[in-house]
Amino acid sequence: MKLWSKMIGLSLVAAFVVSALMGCAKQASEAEGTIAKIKKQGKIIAGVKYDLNLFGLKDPASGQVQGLDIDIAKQIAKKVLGDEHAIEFMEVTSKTRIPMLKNGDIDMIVATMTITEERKKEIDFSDVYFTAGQSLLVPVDSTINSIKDLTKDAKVLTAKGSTSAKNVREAVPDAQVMEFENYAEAFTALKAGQGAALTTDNALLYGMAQQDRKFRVLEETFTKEPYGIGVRKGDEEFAKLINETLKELQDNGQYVDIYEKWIGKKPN
Amino acid sequence: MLIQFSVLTEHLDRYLIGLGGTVAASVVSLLASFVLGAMIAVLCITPVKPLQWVGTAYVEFFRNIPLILIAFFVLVGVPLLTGTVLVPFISGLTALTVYTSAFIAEAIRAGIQSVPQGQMEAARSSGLTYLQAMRYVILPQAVRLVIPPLGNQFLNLVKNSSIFTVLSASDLMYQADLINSDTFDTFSTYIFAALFYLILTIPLSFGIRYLERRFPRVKGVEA
Amino acid sequence: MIHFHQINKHYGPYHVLKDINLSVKQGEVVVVIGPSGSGKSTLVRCINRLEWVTDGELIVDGMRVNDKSIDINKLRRHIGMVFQHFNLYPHKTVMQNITLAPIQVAGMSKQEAEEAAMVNLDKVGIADKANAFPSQLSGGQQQRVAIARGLAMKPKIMLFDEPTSALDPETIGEVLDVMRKLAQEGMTMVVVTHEMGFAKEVADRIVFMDQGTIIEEAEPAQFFTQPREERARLFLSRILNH
Repeated sequence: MKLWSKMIGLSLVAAFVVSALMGCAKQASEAEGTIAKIKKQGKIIAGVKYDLNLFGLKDPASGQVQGLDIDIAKQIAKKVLGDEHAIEFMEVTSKTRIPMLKNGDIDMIVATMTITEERKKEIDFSDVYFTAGQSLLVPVDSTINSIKDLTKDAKVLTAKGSTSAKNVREAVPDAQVMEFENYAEAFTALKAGQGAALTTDNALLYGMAQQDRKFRVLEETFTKEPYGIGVRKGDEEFAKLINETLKELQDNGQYVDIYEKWIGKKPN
Repeated sequence: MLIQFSVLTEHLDRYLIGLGGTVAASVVSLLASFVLGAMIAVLCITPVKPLQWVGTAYVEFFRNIPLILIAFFVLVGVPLLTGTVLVPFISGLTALTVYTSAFIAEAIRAGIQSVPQGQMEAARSSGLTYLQAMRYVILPQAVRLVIPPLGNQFLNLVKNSSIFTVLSASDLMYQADLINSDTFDTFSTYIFAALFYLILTIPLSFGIRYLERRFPRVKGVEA
Repeated sequence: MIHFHQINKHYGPYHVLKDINLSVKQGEVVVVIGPSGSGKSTLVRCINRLEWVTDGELIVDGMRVNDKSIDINKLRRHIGMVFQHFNLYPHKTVMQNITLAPIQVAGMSKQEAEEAAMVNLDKVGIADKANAFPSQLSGGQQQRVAIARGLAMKPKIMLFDEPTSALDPETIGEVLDVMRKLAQEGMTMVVVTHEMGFAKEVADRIVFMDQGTIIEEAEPAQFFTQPREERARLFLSRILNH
């Protein structure tokens, strides 16, 4: 019994030490303001995806991360620091991106993140920079042609921490949703026959279908997914600067170029 | 306040579902990997050389690669190779059992082989068969040697069952991941997950100590 | 009772027994002596097939020991063996050590086996220790339990492999006393030992081995006073002058 209380005591002490340390780190970054922090470190640290074709994909040969998110992020670096190369990319997943932003590991999230009310409680968003819609990726010979074709037994794969799981549960309450660590794993599981369909934003699904022609993306979308750039809660100064950048890119036509370069067509 | 108790109270149902998954995974895998491990250990000590090689190859292969690779192989490789799709929970059980049984086999083998050779000779020379000698003389002594390492393996097994989350099989870790993506309160979410793991592992830990006291190592008759 | 005919044994590159010819008659006490590494333990361990011979013919109690088709456990029932390191089962009491084989192999009832065990424990002089564990006994007591265990199956032959080598000097005597008593009762015994006094007094025959070969075989009176072979003389002078 003595050992019990000793162990519980020790665990609590350990928990509080960790809490205290994390608390300090967090306060430091909040007090400073992101623009000041960026200028001090001489670069923006952007959280981006490394495994998403068309948006943020690391080319194993060159080691460079490429995609629409990357090009947008570089333009923000150019606006803040005058140099589009004054930027460091750090890999995030749907699961890690918000905690990393809050901890100050990254300065902004440019990682195909849908603006939602729930997330707005945790972080602030820029204006919309891309509008996607959730759809399904299915094998070419699948009989599923609409979300309505998903039967009760059908397993739908997606990644943890994304809005996709919630959306598909709302659209098809009976669906069995399996959530994997990231989309690469979910796609591998789909290829292995672990589910009938993979669901997320169509923009990502097109990238997967490009990689493996045995799969196709449904035409139909059942949500609107406005992507925004995530910044720390209350950092209005930085959010405003990002919005100005996005506006300029729209006005001078650069946005259309970037869009076309990756998505293969002009925005609607 | 860094630890938000609302994370626990609002998502208790999910934690409990996850806890149930982890308990089920641990119990089933514990039994299965003990049986499989004992069988592999027998292969390792059999006098028949080819069987020995099979046993040793099994142990060395599976205990020297990361569990997560075995898990992915079962999830993805098995369907691609055999056309049989295992549901994630079964995939997880298979991976965990295959992995843990390699360590258990090694612990049992070491236990049996650390019983002095003379014990087997004495038993055999009195007319006992190999199996009788194993049953009445070698194994009762080996069990005492094997309890501490086996206990460690069982503790590891409970913790390693968190591999289920990457297979999207519902265990404590998977539910914690999902809670995290709802609350974005990573710290609180996983602190409570850790507490639930401790609820499982600390009694187990004490159980092992009890067994160690219950079956103390017999002092050898030789110096 | 025991016949070695042209027995050879190899351990990989080592030729540990070379052309052994030896017969032991019923009721005979044969003591095997020789320098360490001479193959005497191996010789004894071949008799109940703890070691396989490589070639030659070995017949014990009418059974061809190196024939794979014989029921070796049947042969072993009739041969008791006592080891240098006692090899008592440490997790079992003295009584359980002795009754394990009678119950499991001979199918005796527990009561029957325990009654027989008490007779043997009485014979080796430690009936009062029946419920002790081996770790609670002295070396000499442990070895006497081991002898009682060897006797439990009413063997026709008793093998002793250096039974006193691991004992403290003061407990050697009690073990030799028990062995002497067994010899007087007419037990067939093969004993590997360095106890020359015991050999001289109890043995019907001495077998002297060196480098895997039987160098000399003689009655003790002759062997200890007038060994025929030079190597035996050398060995005796070294061991007796110690």
